[in-house]
Amino acid sequence: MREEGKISAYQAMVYQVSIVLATAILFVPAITTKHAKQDAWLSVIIACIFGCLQVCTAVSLARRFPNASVVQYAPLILGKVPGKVVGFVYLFYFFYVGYFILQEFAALMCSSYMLRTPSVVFMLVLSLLAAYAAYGGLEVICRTSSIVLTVVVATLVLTAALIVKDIKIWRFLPVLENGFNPVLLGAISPGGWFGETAVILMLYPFINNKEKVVKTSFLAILILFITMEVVVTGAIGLLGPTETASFLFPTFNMARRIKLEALPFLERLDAFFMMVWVAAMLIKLTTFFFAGVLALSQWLNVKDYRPLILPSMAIMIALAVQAWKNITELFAFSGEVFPLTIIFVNFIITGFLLIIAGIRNISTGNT
Amino acid sequence: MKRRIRLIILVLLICLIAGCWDMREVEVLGYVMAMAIDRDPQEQIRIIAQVPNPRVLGGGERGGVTPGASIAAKPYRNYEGTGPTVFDALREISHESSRRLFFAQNRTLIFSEAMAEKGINDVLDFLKRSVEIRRGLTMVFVARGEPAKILDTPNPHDILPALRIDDIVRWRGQTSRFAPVPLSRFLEALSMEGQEPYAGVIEVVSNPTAQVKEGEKAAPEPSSTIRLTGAALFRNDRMAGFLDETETRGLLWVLNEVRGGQIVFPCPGQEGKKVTVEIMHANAKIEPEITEDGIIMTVKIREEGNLVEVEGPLDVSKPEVIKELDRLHAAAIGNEVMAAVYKAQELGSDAFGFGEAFRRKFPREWKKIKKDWPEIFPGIKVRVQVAAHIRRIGMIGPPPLLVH
Repeated sequence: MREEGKISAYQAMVYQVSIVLATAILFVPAITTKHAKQDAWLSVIIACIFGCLQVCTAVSLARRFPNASVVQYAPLILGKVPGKVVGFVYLFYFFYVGYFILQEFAALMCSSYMLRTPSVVFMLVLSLLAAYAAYGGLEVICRTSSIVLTVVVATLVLTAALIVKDIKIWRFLPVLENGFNPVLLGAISPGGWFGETAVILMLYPFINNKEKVVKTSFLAILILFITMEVVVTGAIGLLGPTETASFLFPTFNMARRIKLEALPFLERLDAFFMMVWVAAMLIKLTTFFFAGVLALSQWLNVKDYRPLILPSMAIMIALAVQAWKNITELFAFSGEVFPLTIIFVNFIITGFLLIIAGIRNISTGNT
Repeated sequence: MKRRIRLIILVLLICLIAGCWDMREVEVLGYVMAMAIDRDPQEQIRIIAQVPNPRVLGGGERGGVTPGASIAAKPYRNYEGTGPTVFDALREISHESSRRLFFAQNRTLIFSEAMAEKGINDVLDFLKRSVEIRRGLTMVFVARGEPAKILDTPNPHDILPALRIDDIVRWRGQTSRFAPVPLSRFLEALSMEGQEPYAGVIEVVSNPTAQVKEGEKAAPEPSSTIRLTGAALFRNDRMAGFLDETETRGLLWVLNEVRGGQIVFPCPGQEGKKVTVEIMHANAKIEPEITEDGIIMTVKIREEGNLVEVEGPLDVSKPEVIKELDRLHAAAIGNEVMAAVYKAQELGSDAFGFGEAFRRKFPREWKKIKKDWPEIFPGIKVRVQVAAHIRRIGMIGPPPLLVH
């Protein structure tokens, strides 16, 4: 296959982080705080452990087949027809999250920044850019996301530094007010987000220093953990648990809340935050879309994925437009259904493949 | 060919990403700088929105003259709109305003006293849901008297009443005797189980320095002036009553909102003489306890101040005198806090967050009593422990009279 050249394990890490980050920082605080209240930071720790488990499963499966992606070797493990079905689940998962991201992006833009602009315009603009990036190929995507990711993380750190003086420890008390169950319930959603790092299943064949993948995958989880913890503790410490849960986009309210009496020009940084976030969102969409198109081409045994870009983009936008009628549906979905579906793919199916491969002792690699 | 296609795509993208649908030019927006919410006798929501007139404001000191008129144009216009809901009332204004009102710069939100007493729940949702309103930057007040009058109180400098209020708020640490609160904090307190919100109070008082002189060319001093004073305590969304200025600082001590100010207390051994200390740093915490006699709240306050004024011959160059002053001004702080506590208990509004402190320390017990908290709060015992220290005494040692 005429694939996308080679990337390093660290570039794969950037890909893994980028594929999670943008929506996670925006939605995790509200969803987690709704259940776990002031203990949401504990939920993120549990979610992180769950994420480690998921990435472990994915990496162990990938290491068995160093020269192919999951869509290619699923038929080897399960037999032709079931393998193809599982392969389809994976590729649909990438598009499914893709159109979910499009809707989320449009939801935020249309409800807080450009209220009169039709949402399909945002979807179209973002998808066209993502398609353009996908034409560039894997190496291009990885390099772009390295740049964007640096800026995003720097912005988050800056935001955290500017709000840290307003964070009140008492907003986190009492710890475990309603026992441990709400904390676990709150961990499901971020746990699902962490699981998106299982995209390593698609990237593994292109990595040139495969021995480092275990390390870099955990590093990806660590980076995600820190950024999620920053937004969750920032939002709760600044807005309080009830307020965080009541806002649709608490992270933006957090960025809006930056206020330094001595340096008034540093107020209203949310426009800057927004700009960076849109870039992160573009990278997130690109990573999912690219993984999806690549999986589709491998599933169809097409040599090059590029001819599939525009048609799949069109289908993705169409799916996004019809999927959720209003923002309440979208949010109910993202809190209740979405994490379970992605956990199903990233953890259950991947784990299932790993177990079957282990039992039948199928592997094409030397590890 | 490929380049050309790319170019075409780029040009098409420009059309899309410019955000034409939501284009808003600065000069067509009317920046609302202050907003007052009231209910009219027909129970409709009545909004007053203050919009500056950039033509006058931007023209410098003497530029603000309406062409053809002999008197200067006002640098602002107060629009009034009435309607069944806040949004409706705001849009009513568009019948009169040539600019589209824009609320992201609004820093002052005033509720009329009558409205606050009847409950502001109906309008809070809009304030929280709105995209444009900046909850962290908007300060909440209750107006004593007619809000329209407050927003139309002229002043030779700081001509925009909204900005004047904002600037007065900025220097609240000069006395810490009025209590402006950001809308975000107000809403948070409202959403908490064991805490009630408070708001600043704003009123118009007459200006005693205004003297009418014959034949003077310059405009006279304004006859009335805006004053921020005290605090309004709420019970849920209804205003329960006012705190006076001393009580307000008592509240702010407990809330850790005292940023400075003056403490005046009797001079030891000198009948009728006073000592004044300026507060430099302060910090407080609430420690709840469950005892056999019920719930006891201990408020621990640490304060550092500088001596700024001594009446009467008191030798402050002696360490033991400073120690005595420390004790006296600690007692003065304690009195302020207790005055606020008694008043709040009388009004039945736990603006201190005693319930919240209790919830944090005893979450299990809180679950049992949280329903009855409004009944328990007026009866709880509050103790104040103040550790106050005078650190500096200004430029001289003993007062001038004592040197002889």
